[in-house]
Amino acid sequence: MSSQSLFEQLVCLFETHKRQLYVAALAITRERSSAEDAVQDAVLAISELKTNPLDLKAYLFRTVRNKALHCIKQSQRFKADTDASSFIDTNNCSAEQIVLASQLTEHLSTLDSNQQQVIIMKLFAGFTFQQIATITESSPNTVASWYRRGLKQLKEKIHEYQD
Amino acid sequence: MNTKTEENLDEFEKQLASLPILEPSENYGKISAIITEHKTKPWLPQWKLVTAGTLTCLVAAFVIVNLITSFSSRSSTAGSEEIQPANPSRGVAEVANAPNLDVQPTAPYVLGTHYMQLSTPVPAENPDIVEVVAFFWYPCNPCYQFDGLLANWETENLATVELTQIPAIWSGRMRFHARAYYTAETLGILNRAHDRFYQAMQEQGQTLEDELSLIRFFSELGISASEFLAAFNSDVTLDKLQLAEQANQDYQIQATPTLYVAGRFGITATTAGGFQEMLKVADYLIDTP
Repeated sequence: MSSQSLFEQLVCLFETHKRQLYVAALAITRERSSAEDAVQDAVLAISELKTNPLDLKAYLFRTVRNKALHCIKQSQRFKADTDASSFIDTNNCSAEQIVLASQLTEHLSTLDSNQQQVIIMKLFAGFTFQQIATITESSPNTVASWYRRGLKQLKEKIHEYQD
Repeated sequence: MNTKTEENLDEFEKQLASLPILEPSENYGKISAIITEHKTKPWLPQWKLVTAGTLTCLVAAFVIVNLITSFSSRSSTAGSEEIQPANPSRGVAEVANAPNLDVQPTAPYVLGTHYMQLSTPVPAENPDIVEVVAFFWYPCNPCYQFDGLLANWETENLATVELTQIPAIWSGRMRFHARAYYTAETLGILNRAHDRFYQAMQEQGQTLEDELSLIRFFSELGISASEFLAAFNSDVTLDKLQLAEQANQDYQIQATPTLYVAGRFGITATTAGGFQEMLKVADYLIDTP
C-alpha cells in the first residue's frame, strides 16, 4: 500500500475520531493543551511512516496513548494529583454539576491509573470496552473490570463525602 | 440487592457522563488541514528552490545597481542631490587603521556609489540613538554570511546604535518566512530560533515553507504544535508581520542583505563592495550628521 493512501487514511481517521483521540489523550494528561499536543504529535509521527501499519486506527490510538504518557513524563504542568476540574468545563456546569465535578476532582486521582483512564474514556468519549482494550492492549474483560471497580469505588467515596 | 446496586451505579454513571468536558481548542482540528496541504503541494526539488532563491537575489541586486547608476548620473547632472561626507576624516582614519582592507584608504564613501539615499526618509522612533535596520531573508546565502559579521558589529556598537533586523518581504515565500520569524519572537525564543532558521535552510537544505515543517522545526526548540499554532496565528505575530511589510515598503527593499542607517541611507554588498565594507560604510554614515 502506498504512502499516499496511508496519509489519506490517517487524515480520514483523524477527522472521524478527533474527539475520541482527544479524550483518549485527555484521560492520561488531564490537561487540554497536553492532550491536543499528544494527538498532534501522534498524527505527525504516523504521517512520516514509510510503511502502513496493519491496523491504522488501533495504531493511531495506541500512538496517541504513548504520546500522552510521554507528555506527562516530560511536562512539568502535570502533577500526580492533577485534579479533574482541569478537564471538566465548569463554566458550562449547573450548580449541582459543579459540586459533582469537585467531588470527582477529589476522588478520581485516588483510583488506579488504569481505572481513571478507562472511566474517562468510557464516560466522556463513549469508547466501548473493546476499543479501550485495543488502545490499552488489554483484554475487554480486564477493561470492564477496571471500569466497574473504579466506578464503584468512586461512587462510594463520593457518597461518603456527601454523607 | 445486587440489581438495586447496579441500578444505582447506572444512575451514578449517567450523572458523571453528563458533566461537560473541556472541548479541544480551535487549533486542534487544523492539524489534518496542515498535513493535507503539506502532502499534496507539488514542491519543487530542493536544488531548484536554492537556485531560484539565488537568482532572485542576483536579479534584485542587478536592478538596484542599475537604479543607482541612473540615479547617480541624474544627480551629477542636477548637481544638488548628492550628499558629500560631512566628516570624511573619520572614515579615512578607520580604514587606515583597520587590518586586511580591500578598499582604498583615501576614498570617501559617496552617495550613489557606496550607498543610496531614500527620497522619503523613514522617521526615527528614538532620536537619541542611530537606528540601523538590517533586511534579510533566511534562504539568502549572502544574508547568512553577513549575519555573523552583523552580530559582531552590533556588539561593538551597542552603546551608540540600535540595530533592528527585519525580514525582507517581496514574495509569498518571504512573507511566510517573515511570519515564522515573528512567531519565534512572539514565543520569546527568537535568539535561539534565528540561528537555527539559518542552519536549517542553509546547512540542512530545509525549506520551511509550510506549517507542518515549522511545527517540526519549532518542536526541536521545545515548542509544541499547539503553542506554535497559537503564536503563528496570534494577533501579536500578524501585527508584527504587518509592520514588517510596511517597513519593507517604506525602505523600498529589493535586495538582501540591505542595511539602512538613520532611516535614510541604504547600503548593500554591491554598492559598498562587500560585507565588511557594508559595515564600514555604516560606521561612516553613523557619524554623518
